[in-house]
Amino acid sequence: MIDIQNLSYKIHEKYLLKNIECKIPTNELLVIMGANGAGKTTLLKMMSGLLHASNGKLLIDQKLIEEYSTLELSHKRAVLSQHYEIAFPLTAKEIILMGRYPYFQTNPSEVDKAIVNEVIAQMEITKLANRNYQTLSGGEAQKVQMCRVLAQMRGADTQNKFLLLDEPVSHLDIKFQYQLLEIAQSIKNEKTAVVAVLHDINLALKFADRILFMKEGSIVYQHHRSEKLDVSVIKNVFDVQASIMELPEQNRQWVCF
Amino acid sequence: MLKSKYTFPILLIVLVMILLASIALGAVSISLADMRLAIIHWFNGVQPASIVESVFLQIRLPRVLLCAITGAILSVSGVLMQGLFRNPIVEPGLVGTSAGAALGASFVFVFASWFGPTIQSFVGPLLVPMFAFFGGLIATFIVYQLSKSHARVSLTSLLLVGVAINAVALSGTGFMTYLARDPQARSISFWNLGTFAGASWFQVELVFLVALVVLFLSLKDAKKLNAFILGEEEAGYLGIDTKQLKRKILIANTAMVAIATSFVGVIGFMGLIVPHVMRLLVGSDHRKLLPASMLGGAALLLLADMGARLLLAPAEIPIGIITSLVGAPVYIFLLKGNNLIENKGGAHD
Repeated sequence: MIDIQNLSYKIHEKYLLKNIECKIPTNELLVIMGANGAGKTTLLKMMSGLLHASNGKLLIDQKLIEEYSTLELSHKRAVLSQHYEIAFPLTAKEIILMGRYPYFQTNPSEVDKAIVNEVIAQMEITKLANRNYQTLSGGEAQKVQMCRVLAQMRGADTQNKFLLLDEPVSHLDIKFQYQLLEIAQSIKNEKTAVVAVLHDINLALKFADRILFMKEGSIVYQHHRSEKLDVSVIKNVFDVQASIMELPEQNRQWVCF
Repeated sequence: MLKSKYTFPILLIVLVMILLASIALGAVSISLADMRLAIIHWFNGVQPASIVESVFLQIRLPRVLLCAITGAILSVSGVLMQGLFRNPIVEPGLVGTSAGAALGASFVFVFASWFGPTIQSFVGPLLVPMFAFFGGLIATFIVYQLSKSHARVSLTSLLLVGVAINAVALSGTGFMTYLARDPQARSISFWNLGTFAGASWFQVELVFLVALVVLFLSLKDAKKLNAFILGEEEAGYLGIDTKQLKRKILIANTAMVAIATSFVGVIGFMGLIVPHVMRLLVGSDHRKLLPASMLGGAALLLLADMGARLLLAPAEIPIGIITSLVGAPVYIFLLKGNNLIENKGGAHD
């Protein structure tokens, strides 16, 4: 469980996050949505342990995130960021193996190598495995990074783990947008939760157990899968007039702009 | 990427051949039989039987070894700095390490008498390397701090700050030369261009020791350096203490370069050429790249030193002139490539 209590974050006296209250249990796929600059990435970085709270607390499994060591945190959560620039030629496989770095000292074990091959098969990128990462397209690179993060999530330990994804589908074609989110959905279980920042409300409605809507550094609305979303929320959060259709055969809603 | 299991054996064989050739060729040529005999005599504690043997033991061998180790040091340093700054065009000359070390060392040359006999007898021959280390560390630290903004090192500011700090260090060295009396001035200016002419066994031993320690430490951190390629934040997500890694690499690397520089002077561009070629041969995985650069760097600087000794024999060209002549075009080539990468990166956004 990630337990966020009255959390604020400010730089130069400007609040990027204000009084965030939120609990993220395992076995949940939580999607964070909001307009640009609403604080989605900042909130994700707080959960990653990269930024520290100005006020309030962030606990992972009842322990303050600041009390975890860098290595302990790397066993607890994996993070997929938005941008990767790499100055040196590395193969896709070498990048994916980095996901196993928290688990071995100098040389990867057979288990580590097997996990790398498994995630490569899972994301269907066998053809890219030995390509130079620098020559990959944006979407291909995103799949490779996702593989790396999935490899990091496969721990031999039995503790709870959290997968944090910042706009994981931004460069992907439609098929892989669905595939990636299906994988994200499939890895959540009693020991695992997934938190993803998404921009596509319809992807969020299809896959999320819960959607947090953020505006100006605060959570303004929480939508649960069983509830009906109202257009007024969309208007408030994104300042866009939308209409919502029901898709009864799929038991979900569809937002049109 | 051309990767073969034969790369390391081939590199090693090439290095040994070049090593033997560098020992053999020179003002006095030394045959393999002479080398064998001299080593046997030395092992048995017998005085060298001929001038050739003395030249081999006292002049040629320390020079060649110092040159090989310095080549290895400068190349490994290039790899480490490039990893730290996350950029393939960084090398100890560019980020101020060499120029700062040169300023520190020239300070000692000119003001040696100030330190008094007590200090001199206490630290003795370590005085120059020590000042070189502090000079190099300060310069490198300033460049690193000024060129990074928001945890990212921007290439443009790195180049510009590097130019500025190098200029400051160079003018400092120039001022020392101005203050110096004639013999000191000559040693400073010759040394600014790099030379192995004064090699001694003491220097070989010290440089070897430092190089060994740094190589061992950096091989231990090879995995962390790999993760650093992804970015500082990402390496942190993978459980790596990036602050500690940076501090460790920066200090170890500066010590290694500064000590070598204090003995042989400023030799530019080695840290640029060798890692670039080795990345093509063995890839960017530091577990392979570090040892490969060590072997390649030793071989390349030996070749350059042979050129320095033989091209205008009996006169000797400062070796820094040769490495800069070869290295500058490689630098320009890399700079062009780097721009292409940056443009491509921009198109993604």
